[in-house]
Amino acid sequence: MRALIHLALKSLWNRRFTAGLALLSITISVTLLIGVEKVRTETRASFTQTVAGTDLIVGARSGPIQLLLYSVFRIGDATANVSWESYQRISGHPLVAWSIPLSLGDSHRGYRVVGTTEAYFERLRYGGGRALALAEGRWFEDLFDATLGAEVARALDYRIGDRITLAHGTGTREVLRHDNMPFTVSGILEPTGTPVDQSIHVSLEAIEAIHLGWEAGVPLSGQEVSPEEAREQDLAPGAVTAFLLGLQSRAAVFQVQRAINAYPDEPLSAILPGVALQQLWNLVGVAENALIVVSAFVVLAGLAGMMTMLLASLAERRREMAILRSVGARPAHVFGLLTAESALLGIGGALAGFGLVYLLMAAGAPLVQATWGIHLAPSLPSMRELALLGMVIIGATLAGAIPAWRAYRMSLADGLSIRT
Amino acid sequence: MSSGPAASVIELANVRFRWQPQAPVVLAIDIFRLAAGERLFIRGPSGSGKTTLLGLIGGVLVPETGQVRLHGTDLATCSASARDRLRADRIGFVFQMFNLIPYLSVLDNVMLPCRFSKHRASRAAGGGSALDEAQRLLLRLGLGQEDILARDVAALSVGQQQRVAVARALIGQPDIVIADEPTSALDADTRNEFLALLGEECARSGAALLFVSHDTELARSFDRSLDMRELNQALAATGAA
Ligand SMILES: Nc1ncnc2c1ncn2[C@@H]1O[C@H](COP(=O)(O)OP(=O)(O)O)[C@@H](O)[C@H]1O
Ligand SMILES: [Mg+2]
Repeated sequence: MRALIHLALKSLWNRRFTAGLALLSITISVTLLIGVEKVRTETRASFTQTVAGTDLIVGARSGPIQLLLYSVFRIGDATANVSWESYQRISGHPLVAWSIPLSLGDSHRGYRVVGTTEAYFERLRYGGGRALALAEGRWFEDLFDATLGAEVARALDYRIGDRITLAHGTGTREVLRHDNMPFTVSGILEPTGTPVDQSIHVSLEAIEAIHLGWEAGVPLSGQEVSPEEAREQDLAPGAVTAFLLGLQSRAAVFQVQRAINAYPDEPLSAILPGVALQQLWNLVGVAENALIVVSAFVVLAGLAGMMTMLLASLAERRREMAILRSVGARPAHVFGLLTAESALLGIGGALAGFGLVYLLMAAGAPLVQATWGIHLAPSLPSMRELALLGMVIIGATLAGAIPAWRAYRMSLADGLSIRT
Repeated sequence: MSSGPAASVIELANVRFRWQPQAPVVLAIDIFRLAAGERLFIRGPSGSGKTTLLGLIGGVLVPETGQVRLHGTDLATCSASARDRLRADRIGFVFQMFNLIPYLSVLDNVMLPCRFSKHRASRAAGGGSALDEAQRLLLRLGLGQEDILARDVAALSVGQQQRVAVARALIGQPDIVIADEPTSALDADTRNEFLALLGEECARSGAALLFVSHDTELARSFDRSLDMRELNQALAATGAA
């Protein structure tokens, strides 16, 4: 066995150019396969981490996935609001431990603005129950204070005391701006690896203030309100977009959910974030599986390339097989030599591809974090990834068995006579 | 050791061989014997079945009928892997040309039989190591220079390659060295030098030498010589060769 591996390694080294090409194609295909798998699991882990601390998400009646996406992941928009009265009533339910109101709909240079309360900072949990922390400054206190997520501050290079203006709507075009009421950066949060990093947090009252003098989503001409005037007005919020609930006990979750879904005053939806996520994964699972299948075919193409390389080399290796037979190699050794070569290429390609995935992830993590808010942690290989690697190596060995079988037949037929 | 004198290393009796079931018999040998330490020359034209005979002796081919005995063991009674082991343990081969595995170093080529035969590995190691033995053999064959050992085997001259093949055939002291036209690719001077060296080294290690060639001139250097046309009845029958 050791003799064969030694021979196989030397033989591959001898044909290092073609063997190198075969190795490269396996490496690239494994990178793709494991990369797709890794991104898939890391994305799921990242999303799960984000909602881990929340028991229920409540919004105007809509599909669970839509509600989950706009409330927590700031993807898409709500169709309707929840009245302030309903929010207060539900928050006051005896089984509710805490609630975080979210008022969405404004933005700043592509980053979402979240109108909320102190509860957001104190109650929101992500990952393994971790709380938010400030890197600098303080959570908003004044009407025109804003607390930035880590990524917002980093990408836009904002410091404490910088002044920013918000725009109406969530597009990047910023057609309608709230120029008249600039905000001051009061604090910057530590990075969390969740959409919090991409958010700008202000008070619910601030959201009311910047929309003073607006009707039906547009400013009324000649009714511009100054910040000073705004401070004088009644800024009690009329509605919120959605809210997150933490319960006294997880066991109460279905009871509270049922109560909210049957809420008489307005149509509301309460969803379990984990369940909604699962529905989301089922939805995108088709696309994910398609990607996995495509990568599997790329792996097959890589293995077929290697097989072609080995088959093409057989003619010139016929003599080598006769020599090996003469020094005592069994036909099984001839078979073993070629399968060892393909197995080594498979192992080499699998390991190199795996290493490349980690390298690319390490290199690309900041960009992915900045662009999509998905945290790609360099995690240990999962059982599934190891199984995929095992399958690649077994596949390579099997692909090698075909040329190996031909060499075996040839060496049996040739004996010691060297016929070319 | 049940039949024949203990001193014979190879015995053939009533052997018939054909490559395919429908093909004609290419080899028909009623009796053939090689004694321990003997140096035998078999001459025969190309296509007369010399290489086929060597394949039968090596246990790589199996006769349709008859017996091939190595040290009294009938190869027909052995499993294929036992025949392979016997070949690895007992026989060293030298072929016409391109004897060497192109991707192995000179020393790795010489030590190749030790990788397939524990018997030869332990005999080669003797008191020291198989590597030392390989180097000693190469030195005796005039290939001791460092630069030759470091060279790619394909970069050696044909004569040098053949001598490396002899070192490989001799390592671990097999009882039989079989040479299949090893001089055909050599010029006259190199050929004579090679023959002398081969005879000497086989004698030194006590191996019997079975040398086949189409070149009748070489017979002088051997104890005994046979003609394939007399040995192989299949040739007379078909009038071939
Ligand atoms: N591997 C083989 N398969 C089929 N026929 C073969 C094979 N090797 C040799 N032969 C045939 O067997 C006969 C004897 O060949 P061979 O033993 O190589 O002769 P020599 O070595 O004396 O030149 C020839 O007719 C040759 O064509
Ligand atoms: Mg021949």
